[in-house]
Amino acid sequence: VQTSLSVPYDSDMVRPALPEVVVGPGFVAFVRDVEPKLRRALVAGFGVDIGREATAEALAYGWEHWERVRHLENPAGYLYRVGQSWARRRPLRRALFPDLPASSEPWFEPGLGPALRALSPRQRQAVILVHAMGLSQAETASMLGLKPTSVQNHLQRGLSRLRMALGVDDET
Amino acid sequence: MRLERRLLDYIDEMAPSVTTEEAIARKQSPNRAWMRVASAPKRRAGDFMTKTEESAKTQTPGQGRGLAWAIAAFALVLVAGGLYFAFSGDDGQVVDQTTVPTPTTVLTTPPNPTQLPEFGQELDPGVYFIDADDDPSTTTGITYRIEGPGWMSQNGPSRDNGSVSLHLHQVQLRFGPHSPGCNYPEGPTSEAAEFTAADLADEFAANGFSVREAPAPVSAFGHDGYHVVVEVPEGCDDAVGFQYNAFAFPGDVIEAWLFDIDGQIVIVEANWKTEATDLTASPEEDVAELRAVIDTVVLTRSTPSGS
Repeated sequence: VQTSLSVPYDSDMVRPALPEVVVGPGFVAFVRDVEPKLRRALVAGFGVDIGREATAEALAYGWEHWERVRHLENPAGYLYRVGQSWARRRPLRRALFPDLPASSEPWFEPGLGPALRALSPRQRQAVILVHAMGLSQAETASMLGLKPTSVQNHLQRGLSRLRMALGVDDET
Repeated sequence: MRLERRLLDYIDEMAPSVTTEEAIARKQSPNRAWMRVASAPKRRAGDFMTKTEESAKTQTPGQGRGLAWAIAAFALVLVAGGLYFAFSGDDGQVVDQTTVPTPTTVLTTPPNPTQLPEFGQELDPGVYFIDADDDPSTTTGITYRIEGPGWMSQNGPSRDNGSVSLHLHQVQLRFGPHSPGCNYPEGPTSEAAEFTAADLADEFAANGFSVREAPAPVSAFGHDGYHVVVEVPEGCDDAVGFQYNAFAFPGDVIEAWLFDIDGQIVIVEANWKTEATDLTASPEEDVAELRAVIDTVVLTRSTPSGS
């Protein structure tokens, strides 16, 4: 069932940086809403380099097919699958989750790269989307094309492994 | 700082936001020029023009892209040149351009019209081409025919619900040393000398997958090669990584035909899904349609132009 997403993507709440004839009505608002979820999900699944490129590719696809995508019931999930299909064919160029560069801000956790590498892609996605971003398990399952029970399992195992790797407890 | 905030900070630091302008620029990048020339929008009768860079820059959402006639024209040039050299030798010797050092010596050119669709493009019924090496100066690749609606191009034909797909790869590297046991390869492995399609077929079967059909010699798509069918097993919680296809998940079925072509291993790969922890099985009708597409595949090969 496809339902029209007349709000918010048909609205002109956001002044587009590009002429609307190029961007399409509501596309800028759509990107602002969906991009963080899409990018973090794809990065969690496929690493920082490929995941970010896949996000750009998926959004480019969304722009190119905006008249169709804007009316989809689950456009974020659809673009996730577009990005996933793109990412799955990319050769790995470097570590999926590299250590933070030495020049990073001091408050960044230096052990996060290795800790994320210790998780499976599904676990990383569940942890990032549900735990870090606050999406519901149902929303996460819908976006990733998974069963909700799978998201719960991946979340529990992923959080456990991540906390163990970082040496933190449930409250930190 | 709480864990969730640290996670988001890490991801946003390492992979900053993608802006609308950046996304759109991917469709307008000069680096995609050859892809755009070879891409296939909705065809119009008599339209034999390739899209210019200028017209591409003024593209708006939903508009078509440039036609893919360059590849067909190139193939025609190859055929014409091959026929000329084959039959016009004045020294009494026939120069057979179809003699190639492969188990079988089939040289075909893509049926025309052959289109090289861009990623994400909806596929109208017709014949399409996948370039094995993304090199427009060669035509090593496969053609396939789409008969009905519901297909899109995602590095090969993919059902638009993502349930089944067909791909082509040209590989130089073998499976990574970390791949067995469902571990994840973190980077490229060393090139393997004298590595053949038969070797890679064997590695498929020994890479931690469940083997559905063991590696075996096959004659397919006009060439002799090797065939293997594997499935990513339950409990293989991490993505299984291998060099030409970095990501697969439990329930993914991979059927591969592997060929030695001009010193490279060329893999025709079909994907579908079985019921697994995370995945819903591909609908039977989608798998049947995938089989119908596979039945139309022709593996084409050529040498680089000018050689």
